[in-house]
Order: sequence, then structure tokens, then C-alpha cells
Amino acid sequence: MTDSLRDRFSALPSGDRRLLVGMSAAALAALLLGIVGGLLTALARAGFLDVVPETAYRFLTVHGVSIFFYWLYLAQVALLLGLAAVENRRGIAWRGAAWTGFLLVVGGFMFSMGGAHTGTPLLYDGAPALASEQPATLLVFNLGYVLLGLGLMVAPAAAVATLLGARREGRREKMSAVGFALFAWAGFLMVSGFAALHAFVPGTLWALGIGAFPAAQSTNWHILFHNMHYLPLMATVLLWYVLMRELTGVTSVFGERFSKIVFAMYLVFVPPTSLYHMFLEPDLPGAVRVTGSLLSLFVSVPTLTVFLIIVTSLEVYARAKGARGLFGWLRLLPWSHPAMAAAAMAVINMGLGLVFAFVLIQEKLAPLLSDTFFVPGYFHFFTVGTVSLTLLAALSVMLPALTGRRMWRPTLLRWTPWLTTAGLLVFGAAGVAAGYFGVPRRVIVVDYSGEAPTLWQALMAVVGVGGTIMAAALFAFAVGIAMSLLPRWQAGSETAGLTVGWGGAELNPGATAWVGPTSVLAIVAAMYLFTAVGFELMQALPVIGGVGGH
Amino acid sequence: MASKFHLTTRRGFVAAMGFGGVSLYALWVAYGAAPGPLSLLGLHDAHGKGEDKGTGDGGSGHGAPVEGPTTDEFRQMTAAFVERYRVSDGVIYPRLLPLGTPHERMIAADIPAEMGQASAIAKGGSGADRIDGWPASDHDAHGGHGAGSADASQRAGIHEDGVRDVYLLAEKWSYEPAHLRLDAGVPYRFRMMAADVSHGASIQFGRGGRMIRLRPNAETAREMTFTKPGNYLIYCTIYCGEGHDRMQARIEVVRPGETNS
Repeated sequence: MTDSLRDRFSALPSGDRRLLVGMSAAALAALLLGIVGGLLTALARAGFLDVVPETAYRFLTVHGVSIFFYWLYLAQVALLLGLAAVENRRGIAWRGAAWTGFLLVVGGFMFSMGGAHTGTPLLYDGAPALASEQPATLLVFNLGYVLLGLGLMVAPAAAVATLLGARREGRREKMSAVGFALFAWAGFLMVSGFAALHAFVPGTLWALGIGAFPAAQSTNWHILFHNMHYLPLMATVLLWYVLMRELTGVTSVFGERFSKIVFAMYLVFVPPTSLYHMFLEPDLPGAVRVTGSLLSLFVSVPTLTVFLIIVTSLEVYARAKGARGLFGWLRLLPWSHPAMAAAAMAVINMGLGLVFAFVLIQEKLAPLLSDTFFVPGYFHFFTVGTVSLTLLAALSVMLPALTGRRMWRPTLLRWTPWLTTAGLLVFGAAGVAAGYFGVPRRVIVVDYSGEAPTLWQALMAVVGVGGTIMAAALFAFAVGIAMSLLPRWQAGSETAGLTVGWGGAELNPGATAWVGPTSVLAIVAAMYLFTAVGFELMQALPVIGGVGGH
Repeated sequence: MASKFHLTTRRGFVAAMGFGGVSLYALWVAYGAAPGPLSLLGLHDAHGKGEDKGTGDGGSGHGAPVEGPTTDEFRQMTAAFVERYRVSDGVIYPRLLPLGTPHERMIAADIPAEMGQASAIAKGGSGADRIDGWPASDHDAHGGHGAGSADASQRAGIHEDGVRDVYLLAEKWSYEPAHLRLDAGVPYRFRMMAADVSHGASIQFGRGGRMIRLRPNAETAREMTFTKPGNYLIYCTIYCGEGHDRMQARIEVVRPGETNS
């Protein structure tokens, strides 16, 4: 398997390429729409855009639904099928099922956007109580997620069939580490699809007048929501793994089996860590909160381990190529490729996201920070800074290969992940600080008739500035990648100078690789620091008690 | 990897480093925010008072929805609470009420000493600090304790352990009552309910807050003692529709006896 990913994408049957291009285009459209919605929401919160709150909540609904559901899932399905097809080397099996799944998701997107523009804005979780007097609004909104759920159960089945095809036909004795991870990824996507049906079918039936009111949707939503959180993270680390091989030629120095074990850890560690989303639920027993908090400590294990595999492998190979100094090898990475810049920024943002996420998984700290702007402050490090940049990085490799056209201005595009991260740092820092001072999330006007601290609005203004930079840069990155879909864009496959070839290097026995472990130590030290700040804040509150749940 | 490779490139090392985040447990235990290892193993009850002291939970942790009244019943209870404790400036101030009628005062004066600590203090008019930890000013200001019907009248919503009930009803897009006056250092049991959709009843303290979610038609109880005087914003932190932004109330915490209301 020495040929590049680009060559293998190019060699796919034209029918497969059309499907993957269509999926990718739909994913990018959802992303661009979601970015616009998010930008308008941030500007309204900052006070830079004068709209009534209901309009701003509609912006927020479009933002959350488009990005959290349709961008992330459509991009994942496109990349899953694309990577499965090149892994199989004979294209997509069950292409009809893949098309069916894709069209179901696109249909869902139409319904969801319809739901977002009519009736009461339901945000992205669509609480049915908010539409208890508007069943038609809930019906349209829920049908979107129901179709999405069905699509997520059908399209990944095609990926599974594709991955199993090589073994069934006797062309491969065992799955590669990537094939194994793709298999798990497809399974997770189908579970997410089922979770979406589980959460939103009851409300749909109620809206149709043939079912009871969905009183349990809140719990069912949390199950789906947890999947939505961690599934893209698994996809992200797998894409780092694939991208680094494509951009540098480096494969894991720890071997395929070790990688498989680590990818399998997502199956073990992610499901039991879901309880921390529910720490504020008033009916969650105290013992469950304690247990959930302790289990959540394990949520970073697979992600940090894959991170170490990749960084250590890169460092060892770079040293074999003559790199010197602790960080000197980083300069040798192929920074001129936008995918490299995006993946590197994704790694940094993941570290920041983990640091703040670990404050929130502490059940005693959750009542201090959940439902505040701390939450969007930290999770944009994951959704934008880590996952979206990685998905775009992968699309920047896949799409030019599928269309046979050049990447649009890579020398310009490579700066967009840096700029996105710069905006994100401003947005995230102000957002986390806003949470520290109690600014609520999901509130557009935060002055509360002058009773709220004036600092709140100032922090929201900074969030607006950071959000604008972040949105503009991410928009530019996505548009730049979409340019390779345009028929008139120049054809070609020249990638010389954008990648490096370290794969054949002879490794130096005894070579050290300290950057990965040092990074993990830095992340853990920051976790200790910010968690301690949280505990100190909690102890300084002028109140004793008030933490819920027995 | 063969053993000739450096420690940092060995599988065991990488796998162990992957568990780095789990080490945060040590900090949690140090702050009393998680049960210690012995407690986890069932060998030692380390997750008791230390936790409360360390985390400022206050120990009681009443927070689960309780088997309680229906929404209509809760609405009536809230209305009665508001009516009982409304003071001249319109603020709701749950406290020991002054004895109302001459008959009530007479009953209070005739309380036999053997009826207990509360009665003794009612007679002497001093030593109120000895009653369930209530501050003296409460009793000085309001004429001391009674017994029988007067005591019951005074103590409505006040438990034997001195915890006072506070009712808060949340519905689109307001709270009832909208302005509470509470005494610093006095334990209150907030009994809260969302009457229509889910709402928040979070409290903002300047730096940090206490986030509270209320699910519809289920009573949620939280025990809280405010330690410092000040004005604290109550605000809805669960999106509840178009008027969500303006859903607010206020808690005014005063030193006991600071107000003559």
C-alpha cells in the first residue's frame, strides 16, 4: 500500500466519486450556513447587531442544527465512505444504500431548516415542551432529525459492506488499523442514528396525534448528545492518523495491532462517560453523579494515546531525517499544505478543550459552570478548533483528488487554520471567563434590566470579536476547499512541495521522542491549574449548599 | 518496538501517558470533591464530612425533585408564602413573624418553662441564639417565640432544625416571588417548581454562580445558606422561549436585624 491516498481517491469509479463529491458539497454548504448563523448569533449577543431576541434565537437554531448535526455528520459520512472505498480498493459496495442514506440526510436538513424558520425557535435540542402548542412546528423540526437518523443508519452500512468486501472476496486476510477504526466509526455512526430516532420519533408521533407527549426526551437527548460529542473526536484522531501518513509518509512506530487496541478503547471508554452531561439534572441521584464524575476521568484516554502514537512516530521519523533539538523536528513538517496546518492547530485546540472539559466533568464544579457561557467557550475548541479543522483538512486532501483539480491557493489557505485558532483563542478565553463570572449561555441580551454586572456585556463583546475572526477564517477555509469542486477550476494533480516523504527512513535506535509526553504533561498540569481555580472559586462563593441530587 | 528503543517510544510508556488525565483524581480527593481510594474500595468512609467542608456543599445537598405537590398545589403554597411574608416595601421576607393578636401574645407569655428551649427564650426574650441557631435579632425584632397556635403561626415554613422554607415558582417568563429578602447565616430550603416548561433558577454571585435547573411540574428542593449580605440575581439558564432573556428575580441578603421590615 505504497501509493498515496490522492492516487487511490483518483482511481475510484466515477459513480463513487460523484457520490463523495455530492456529500462533501452538502457538508460544506451546511458548514457555511452554520457559520453565518453562528456569526449572527455572536454579533447579536455582543450588541453589534440589533435584532429582537427571537430572531437571534433563530440564528442560534440554524447555527447549532447546521453545524452540530449536518456538517459534522455529512462530512463524517463522506470521509468514512471515501476512506472505506480506498481501503477496499474496489470502490464503495452498496452504493445505492449510500445514496439512499445521503438523500435521507439531505432531506432531513431541509426539514430541519424549515423547522428552524417557523414557529418558536427550538434551538438544536428541540425541547418538545417549547412547542407544546405548535405541534406542526415540532413535526417539521423532528422529521429533520428522524430522516437524519435513518440516513445515519443506512449510509454507514455501505461503509461496513465495503470494508468487509475485501475479506469476503479473499483479497485481504485481516483488517488494517485504519480499516478497523473505520469499521468502529461506521458502527458509532449507526448507533448515533438510532439514538436520534430514539430521541425524536416519540415527539414526531405526538405531533402527528398518534403518540403520548414525549416527556422523556430530555434523557434520550443526552444519550444522543454524548454520541455527538465523542464520535467526531474518534473520527478526528483517525483522520490525523491517515493525514500524517499521506502528508509525511509516516506510519505508526508502534505497529498496527497497538493502534487497533487504542481505537478499540473508544468503544470501552466513551459510553460510560456520558453521565457528566446530566450533573445538573435535579433527579440524578448523588451516587450516580459521583460515579459518573469518576468514570469521566477516563474520557481522554484514547484521544491522548492516539495523539502520542502520532506525535511520537512523527518525531522518531523526523529525527531519522536529521532533526535536532526538542522542537526542531516540528520545523520539518510540511507546513505549506493547508491540511498540515489544520491538523496541527487541531491538536493544540484539542489540548485546550480537554483542559476546560476536565473542569466541567467534576460533579461539584458542574453546578458552578454548566449552563454558563463556559460551555460554548470550551466546546468550540473541540467543534471548531479540533473537529471542524480536521474534517476540512481531510476534505482538502480528498476533494481535489476526486475532482482531478488543483487545490485552490494552498499558500493562502494554509494560514486560515492559524487565523481560525487566533479567533478561537479570543472567543474561548472570553467565553471561559464569562462562564467564570456567571454569564448564561443561550441568552441573547444579558443585561437583565441593569441588574447583571456590566462586565458581562463587555465579555460578550470580546466573544463577538473573537467569533467574527474565527467565523471569517473558517468560512474562507471552507470556501477555498469548495473551490476545487467548481468545474472551471484548473485541472491538475501537482502536490510537489506540499508533502514530505519520511516513510522510507531508517529509524535511529535509541532516538528520543519527548514532545508527545511533554505535551501531555503540559495538558495535565493545565488541567490541575484550572480545576484548582474552579475549586477555589467554589469555596469563595457566598453560599453554602445548593448542589443538587441525592 | 524493540527494547533498544528509548523509553519514550515504548508502547507501555505511551499507554501509561494516555492515562495522564485520570491523575486529576488526586486533586479532586485533595479538595474533598471525590471519595478517596479507600472509600472507593469500601474500606473507609472518607466521603463524609470532609467532602462537605472542602467543597462548600454545606452537607445537606437536598436537590432531587421530591415527591411533592401538584403544580396547582404548589402555586397555592407559593401564593400563601408570598402573602404571609410580604413586607411594606413589597419584598418577600421569610422570617419569624411578630405575634399578631393580643390573644397570641397572651398565649406566648403563658408558655410553661418545661415546654422547651424555644419557650424559655420566648419568656426571657434573650438567648435566641440557642434556638436552632437562629440569630438573636430575629427574636428581638419580632417579639420572641410563641407556642401552641401562635408558635405554629410564627413557625409556619420553619423546620425544627431552623431551616426556613422559601418558595419559588418559575413560569414563562417570570418568577414568583420576584424579590426575596433573606438573612445571612440562616439556612433556607428553596422549594422550586417550573410550572410550564423547563426553566433555570440560577443565582449569580459576582464570581461564579449556582446553576439550578427546574423540570416542569416537579418540585426541586435545595438547601442554601447565604454567608454574605448582597444583592444576587436569579436568572433563567434554560432556554424557555422568546421571553427567556427577561426572566429574572432578585435575592437581597441582609444581616439579621438589619432591616426593620
